[in-house]
Amino acid sequence: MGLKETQQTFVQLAIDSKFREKIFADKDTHSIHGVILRKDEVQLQARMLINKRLNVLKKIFPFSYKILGSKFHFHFRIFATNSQEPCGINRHRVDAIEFAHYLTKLAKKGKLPKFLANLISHEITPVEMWVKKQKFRFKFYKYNPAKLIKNINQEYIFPIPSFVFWHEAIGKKKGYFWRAFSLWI
Amino acid sequence: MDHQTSNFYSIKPLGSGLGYRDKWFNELFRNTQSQPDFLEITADHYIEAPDWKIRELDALLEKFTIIPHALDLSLGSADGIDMNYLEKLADLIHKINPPYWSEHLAFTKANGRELGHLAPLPYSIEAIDVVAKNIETTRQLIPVPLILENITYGIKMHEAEMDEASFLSKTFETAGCGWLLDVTNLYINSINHNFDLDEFLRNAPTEKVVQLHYVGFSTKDDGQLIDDHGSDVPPEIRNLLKEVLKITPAKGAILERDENLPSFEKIIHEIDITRKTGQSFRRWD
Repeated sequence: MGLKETQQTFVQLAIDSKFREKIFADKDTHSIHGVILRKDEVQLQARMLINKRLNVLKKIFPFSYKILGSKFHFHFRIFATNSQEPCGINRHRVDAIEFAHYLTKLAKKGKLPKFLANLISHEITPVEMWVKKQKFRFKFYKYNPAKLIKNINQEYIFPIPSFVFWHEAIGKKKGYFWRAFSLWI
Repeated sequence: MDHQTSNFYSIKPLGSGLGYRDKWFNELFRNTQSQPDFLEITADHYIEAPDWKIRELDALLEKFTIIPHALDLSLGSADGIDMNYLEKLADLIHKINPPYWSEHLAFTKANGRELGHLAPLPYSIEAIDVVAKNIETTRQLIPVPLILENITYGIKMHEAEMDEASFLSKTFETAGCGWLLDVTNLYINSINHNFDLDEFLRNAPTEKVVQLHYVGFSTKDDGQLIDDHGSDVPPEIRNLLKEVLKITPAKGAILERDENLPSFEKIIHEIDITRKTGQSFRRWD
């Protein structure tokens, strides 16, 4: 008996760092209906889950990750600690969209390079299109994403107002495609 | 022989197959090289998916037998089944019309919260009853034969009422399902938790095996093995795969490579070796 409660406690311990700290504050094991959960094992599970989320995000934001490096990890861990764990079939995509919002806010506040907001918005677009089942999308940027990606190693990027047209693949092609158009005044 | 078991016996052998990854889509349609005998897809990739992803599935269905492998039904959850997910999964399986489908002997959800990972079940009568009840619910919408995969476990969540082999045997019997024997997961657990593979296989319900999974693994500095699905198949797994093909009535084997995807030629080479091994034991043509 007690499988329901054991599973509920285990899940909460694995995903809720504050609950985990509270339960294991002064002990190394926690017993539920005779099942012994060890602090080190639960912490290992928790780290594995965070790393799994992080690895998915690194694939969704390859250029932002390249620019930020270890800061990407740092900001993700803060984000993960302060956000609800993602749920549902599209949980990794929803997680990525929420993380994009978080990083964009930091960039707009000047805590990350300002051009990063455009790059993140660009990288998250196919994910948003998948979740919302969008066939087309238009975005307007201060920085041309094609130039951002091409000049990723440069310290300073010139703003070039641009709009980007995205569309879903047609026929036998797969995925999402985009084209950037610079606006010269 | 119950109805479900007879369903597994009547499944025609499938052969040596591949876990589909979209990087290999174009290669799968070239006529100039050896191909997998069948494919396994991650069911979740095609649920609530955009049109282009469904077209991809349609194209694969025209050429291959497809086995859907689901991730998130959480058949071991004492809370019961997520009916919303089950209905969508049922629609997909109905579309694919496979000879069987697969999930995991594990849980991923509890109290409305998701672990995002497969967690083990205790080896207990209560867990068996939970799984059987959830499968009975599932069967109302998905009458296609179901096989369950053994997972790796970092934590053993139990004061065990029985050993793993007995747990598997009782679960498959009670729930009326078959076994997706993941050879790599079995090997990893035997090393990480120090148990004898030969003894395990002697006691395990090998007659319930319908399909196999295999792939390489990685090793941590402390010697613990990780099922990262990102390495070539090493000799230890090849040997175990050969032993399992010898003693089980497996209908097919899937190479389940997820990370560090190599060239298609390398993948086909792995699949060809497995095909020959299965042929040597008359598992398939």
